[in-house]
Amino acid sequence: MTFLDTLLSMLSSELMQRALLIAGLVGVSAPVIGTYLVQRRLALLGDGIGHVALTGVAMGWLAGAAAGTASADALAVPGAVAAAIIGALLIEFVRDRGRTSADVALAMLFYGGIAGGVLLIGLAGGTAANLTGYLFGSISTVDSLDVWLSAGLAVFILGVGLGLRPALFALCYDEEFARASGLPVRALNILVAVTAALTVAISMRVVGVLLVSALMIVPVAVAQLIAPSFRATMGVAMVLGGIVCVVGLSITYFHALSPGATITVLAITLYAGVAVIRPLLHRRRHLRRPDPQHLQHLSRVGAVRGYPADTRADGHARVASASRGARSDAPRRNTSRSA
Amino acid sequence: MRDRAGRHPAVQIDGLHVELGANSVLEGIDLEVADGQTLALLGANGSGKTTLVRAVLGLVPATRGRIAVYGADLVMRRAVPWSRLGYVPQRVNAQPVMSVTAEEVVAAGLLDHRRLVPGSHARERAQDALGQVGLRERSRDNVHLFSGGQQQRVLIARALIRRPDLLIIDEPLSGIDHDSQTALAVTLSDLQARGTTIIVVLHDPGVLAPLIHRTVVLDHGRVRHDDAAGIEGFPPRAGSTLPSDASDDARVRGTDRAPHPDHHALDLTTGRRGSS
Repeated sequence: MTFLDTLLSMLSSELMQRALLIAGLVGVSAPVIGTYLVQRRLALLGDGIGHVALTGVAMGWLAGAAAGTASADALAVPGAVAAAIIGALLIEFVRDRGRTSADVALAMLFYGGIAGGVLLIGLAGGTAANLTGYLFGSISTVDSLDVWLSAGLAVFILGVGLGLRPALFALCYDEEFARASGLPVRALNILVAVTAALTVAISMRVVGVLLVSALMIVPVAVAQLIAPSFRATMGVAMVLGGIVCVVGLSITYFHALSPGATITVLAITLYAGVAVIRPLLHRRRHLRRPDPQHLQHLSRVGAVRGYPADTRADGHARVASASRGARSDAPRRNTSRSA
Repeated sequence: MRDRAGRHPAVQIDGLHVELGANSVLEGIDLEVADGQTLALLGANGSGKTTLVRAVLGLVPATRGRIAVYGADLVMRRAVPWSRLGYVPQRVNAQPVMSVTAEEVVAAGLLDHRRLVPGSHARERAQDALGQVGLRERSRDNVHLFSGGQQQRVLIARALIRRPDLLIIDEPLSGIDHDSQTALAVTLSDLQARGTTIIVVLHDPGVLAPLIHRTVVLDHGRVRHDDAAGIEGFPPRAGSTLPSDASDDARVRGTDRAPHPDHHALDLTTGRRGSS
């Protein structure tokens, strides 16, 4: 069987169609919220939420067992969503209070989350294979409900992340200025935390709770090496995230590998490659010519010697030259408006 | 207290106390800043001047007392006319994590409590604001690669894009070269001519001295000197006329705001305001 035959076989498989669709949705949407987290220097927030989400998965298992659901993990994703949101809000609360012990509190939350998850899954009758699936990703059992759930979460994440980009950028770039501008900083912070939690929940199936942060952060890390703006960084990260997820998942069809690990290694390899190539691309850096507007701005105060006086804006002719500290060799300008 | 025209003062502070941790930083500040006034807030390090402006911006909670901005109590955040306020911090607070263009930073200044997404002309307005500080040609450049003076001009543009009626600017002269200082003086002079109220925190008035209507000196969290007495009521000087371009600006802005009566054409050569 040729490679093409295997590829066609993969694409004709309903399971792989669903899995690839979810991987694409996750790959595109996870870096959106990741861009905000990187800008805020909260790159490991997703990691922490992922740890807590595992407890939610385990509680979903317990609830499913108690309710007698057909599939043991039918309530795993809803449980993960609930736990991730609660965990994200707790983390945001600790961050907002800014206490010196915040990192210790966060560490306890992280370790408590993963330890609680492992214990509860064991109590619910889960196996090591089930646990590995949640820790490192497994989409071999996704059904159409998972696709719809992932699509719904992706729409929400993209809607918030792209629709409110100006406000979220203002918040993540300079929270103090955002507050001084009257932006609802607390509400926006909660929105970021909840969206991050939903991103973890949607990504968990593909890459697992231990590697979920990689999908949010590594595509952004690659994009920030080459993108010239915040907006472009987000756009490039979305494209790269989608590509590495789909390609990584496809590789696991050909080789029995963990999807989460494959996708993460692929993304980090991409980062290394771009980091190596980037200096070559930037070698032809040319000197920027002086900004004529800046020169004109300075000429209004007579600070630039020899710059034509007639380029000054007439309305500002009253401002001739600096008084104190002005360079003694700066030309004197007329001070009268009628001059 | 409202002025003769029935307008609220830009800022009204009554009995303000601020405590940060166990430290009492401000102790009973009473201050009224009239609309159109340019006020310099001076004092030594630790005197409380930055805390005072941060309290006015709602960045530091008042332990006791009241702050009102254009008549709106700061406690009622949703009632505060945030779009009328512009703030220029001392330096860029953000970490240079990823490339962020000057245009993106400045466009963020269009947002307030009612507007989470800027309008369709955000890019043009950001470029115009950058043009006002002489950086239009660098609007697509990474702001983290700018010099300290250029970064400060980006922050000024971020405040200017709001077309603020009240501009609060923190330590604008520290760490920037002389050319940037004089450029800043011109920008503030233009704003003053449009009737913008300006509160500027300074160690030393320096090149901004000719612009200042009123000086308030803080010492250990208290007002030690306030030369408001000489300009109380702001009577127009006899024979003075407003700069014509300033009146044009007011019309362009579609407001009745006129330059402060104490505003006269500024000559930075002599440091004097002349009757034009």
